[in-house]
Amino acid sequence: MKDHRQVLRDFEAISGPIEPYAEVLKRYADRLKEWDEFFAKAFYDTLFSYGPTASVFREGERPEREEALKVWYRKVVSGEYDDAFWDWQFRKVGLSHVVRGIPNEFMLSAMSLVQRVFFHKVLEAFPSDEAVRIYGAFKHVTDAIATLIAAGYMYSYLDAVSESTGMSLKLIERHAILVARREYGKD
Amino acid sequence: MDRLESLLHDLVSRSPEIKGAVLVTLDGFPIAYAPAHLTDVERQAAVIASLASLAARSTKMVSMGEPEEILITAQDGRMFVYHVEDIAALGVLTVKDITAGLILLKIRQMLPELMRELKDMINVGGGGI
Ligand code: HEM
Repeated sequence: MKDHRQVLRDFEAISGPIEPYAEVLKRYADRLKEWDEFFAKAFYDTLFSYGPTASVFREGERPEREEALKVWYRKVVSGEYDDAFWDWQFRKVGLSHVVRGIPNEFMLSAMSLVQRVFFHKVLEAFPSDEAVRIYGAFKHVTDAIATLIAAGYMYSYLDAVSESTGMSLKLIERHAILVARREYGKD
Repeated sequence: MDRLESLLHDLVSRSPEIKGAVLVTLDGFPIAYAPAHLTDVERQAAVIASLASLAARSTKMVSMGEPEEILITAQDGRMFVYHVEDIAALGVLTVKDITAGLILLKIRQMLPELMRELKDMINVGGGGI
């Protein structure tokens, strides 16, 4: 499996460095952290109101989930990221959802929800030029996290197939290319 | 026709029970095959490599060492798969009613030479297949 450092290197090379955006968030962190409660509620109100996402949760699990999301949100808007932060996104935030059988499309849709909730909140609270700057920073950082989650999801599936069947990742990729060529009509 | 292809061609043309033979890399790419009109070779190659990998994983899991041969008997034929050391896999398709011993002997006799040719090819090519 590619590690989180490699995935981040690719992300930064393609989409731009994270550090300048982290600096923006650091400047506003105290204000942004105050929204953690609101944030967790909006997030889980949505996940609990849609059958396929609601069915993932266990009875009585919501308070624990909200607490975890608040911690996550405060850490993201703090702008303080070290290697352990990114490893946490890749392994814990990414793979803990794989363990619960939550598909990638749910994760990426939920990240889009996170960004949209933040966007509305920031527009309400700040003049528009500042709001755009803060949202741009939040979006870049959460896009990096979404990339880590998506990559962790795919590599954990590929590793599982490779480990259990003995097929190399290159051989699995070969199957994927052959099937895609057929589906895409290039056979 | 290169040496590998002519080896496979000889095997197929001398044994009417053998319908086809495909030599593949363990990444699932065809290296050589016979007869020339064999269809869907690319996908066959990926499946042969997968069978070889799966067999190796299975025998390793139960501490049986490396698999020497895989035999699949289907309604209308048989399929043999051989690991050619850690370099390649060979798939051989036959009719169902074969004198298995004789066919196996022919294939096994050919394997060392196939191996030598393959190694030569890698050395001449200066690396991977
Ligand atoms: C952007 C999207 C998401 C983020 C940022 C997020 C964040 C988190 C975090 C921080 C944790 C705690 C991980 C830890 O132990 O450190 C967690 C756990 C969990 N999340 Fe999410 N989550 C997201 C999407 C979802 C979705 C879409 C679902 C359900 C459909 C979900 C269900 C869960 C569950 C069930 C756990 C507990 C996992 C376990 O058993 O440990 N999450 N999430």
